[in-house]
Amino acid sequence: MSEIVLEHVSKSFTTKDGTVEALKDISLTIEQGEIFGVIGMSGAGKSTLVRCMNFLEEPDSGSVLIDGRALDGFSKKELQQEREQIGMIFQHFNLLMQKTVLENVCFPLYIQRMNKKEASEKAIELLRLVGLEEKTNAYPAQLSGGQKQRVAIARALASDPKILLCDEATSALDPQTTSSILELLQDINQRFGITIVIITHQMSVVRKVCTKVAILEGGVLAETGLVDEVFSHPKTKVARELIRRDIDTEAEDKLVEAETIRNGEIIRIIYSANSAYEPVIANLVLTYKEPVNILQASTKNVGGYAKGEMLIEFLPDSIQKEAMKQYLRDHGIELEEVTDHVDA
Amino acid sequence: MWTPEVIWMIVKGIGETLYMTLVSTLLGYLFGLPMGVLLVVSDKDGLSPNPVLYKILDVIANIVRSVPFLILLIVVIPFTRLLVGRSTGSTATIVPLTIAAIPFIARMVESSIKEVDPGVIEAARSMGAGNFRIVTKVLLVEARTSLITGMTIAIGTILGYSAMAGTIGGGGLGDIAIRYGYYRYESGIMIVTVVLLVLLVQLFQTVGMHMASRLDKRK
Repeated sequence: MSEIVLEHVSKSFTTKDGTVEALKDISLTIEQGEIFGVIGMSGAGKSTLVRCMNFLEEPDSGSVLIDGRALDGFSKKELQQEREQIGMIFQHFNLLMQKTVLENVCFPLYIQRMNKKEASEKAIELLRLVGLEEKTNAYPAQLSGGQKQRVAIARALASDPKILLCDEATSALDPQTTSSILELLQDINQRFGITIVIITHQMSVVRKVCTKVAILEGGVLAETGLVDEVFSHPKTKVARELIRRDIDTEAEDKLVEAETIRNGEIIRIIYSANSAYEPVIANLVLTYKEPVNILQASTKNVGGYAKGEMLIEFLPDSIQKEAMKQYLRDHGIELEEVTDHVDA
Repeated sequence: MWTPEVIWMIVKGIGETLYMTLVSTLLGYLFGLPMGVLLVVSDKDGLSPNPVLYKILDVIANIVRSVPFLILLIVVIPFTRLLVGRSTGSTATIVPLTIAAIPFIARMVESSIKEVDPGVIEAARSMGAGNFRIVTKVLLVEARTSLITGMTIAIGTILGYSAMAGTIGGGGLGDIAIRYGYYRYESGIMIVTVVLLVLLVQLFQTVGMHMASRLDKRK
């Protein structure tokens, strides 16, 4: 059974500037044990979407099913009990600043009426899991951002949830800390089989840990599918834009700029693990004795596989470009024509 | 002038002032704290918005707070008589003091609780916490420092009001200052009582601030 199912979910907010439609008819299925990414630019409705999954925001229409049970049919009490099964972490950690690390992790256990001794034992175990057993008696203000997020993760796991919602959980962290938090989430997913939903505006986060992704734009679901698929064959403009930004931020130093050739046809090529070892482009140029211009190039790790992508421009008067494209296809390289390329 | 009787009177005055101030503060918080919490909870962005309740509490707080204390003191005399049996003396003064303190404290509590990061409240909700638990385990705990600072201010204000009650025979240092200093022109006694009042406020302020900063774990 699918863990989280959203059916035609819509939500709007009334602000003093009028009504804002945050979500428009979103239908989405998240399977058990998945790490599911929801990505979009700011204001796309990501945070509202994730809050609909534990009913911190109630949708105006449509339904949200957790394990096949609709949240809208729940009483207040039942909803509170259901929320114990759905952990959540936030961009700004949202820890109790006046309580120690240990008491923060104990908090959800006290809600479940666990006694102090048992709660402490469990909390210490969880703090060990996130690598913070030495900080038990520290206060959040004495911790770094990454450590605070680790405490938040331990707190979210305390009630043995089957789902963990992450709302921009790494957005306030530097790249190294982001990586370590993502590794921890991946570890938790594998070890306990917890379904993880990651809300982010960074493609790199989705690329590193998610198996599936949904792209939101203006409250509408633009694209959804396997990360690998979406990454290699983005169908929508917003997907391409997010991937391009990822290239810009992740691989600026690897970026190769165009020199003099202009107005030739541009194609985007994607090569996977095996072809990355062959000097395909060099062989292409040697075979056809015709230069190509590399506009952008980067290699990245997509779900554990090396995926490369390049923007290649042919000579404007190339007569061999169809043959050259075929050569690339024959070497197992996917390609697509780029019409909306703008130099960054 | 400084006969043992006068000194004893002043010592008794200090005792009465402390008695009125502390009992009124205590009773003020007994009603003002829940009122402040209800103001936050029933507010439109609160945990359980209730426009009618909010408006009622809001209006009560505003009305009581806009009546000058000296007038309130006189207006509530029948009520004080009903409750205590008399309208003069320090026990009787506790009645108007408490009435004035409740809305004042409620507003202080309200503004302290509103400082709590909404993100933390959201986190508690996401963990399945109900409103009661959010109030007792999140709001009041996270607002602790601000609540104590507020209490320090409340004590200072109530102490000032208690001195004002001296005009209608309310007992305490204010009563002495008015009877001796104002009616009998014994400025020596008046200066001593004023200095004592200043010292008392200073004492509460220092203790309160020290407590607030010791309990603040945000730094």
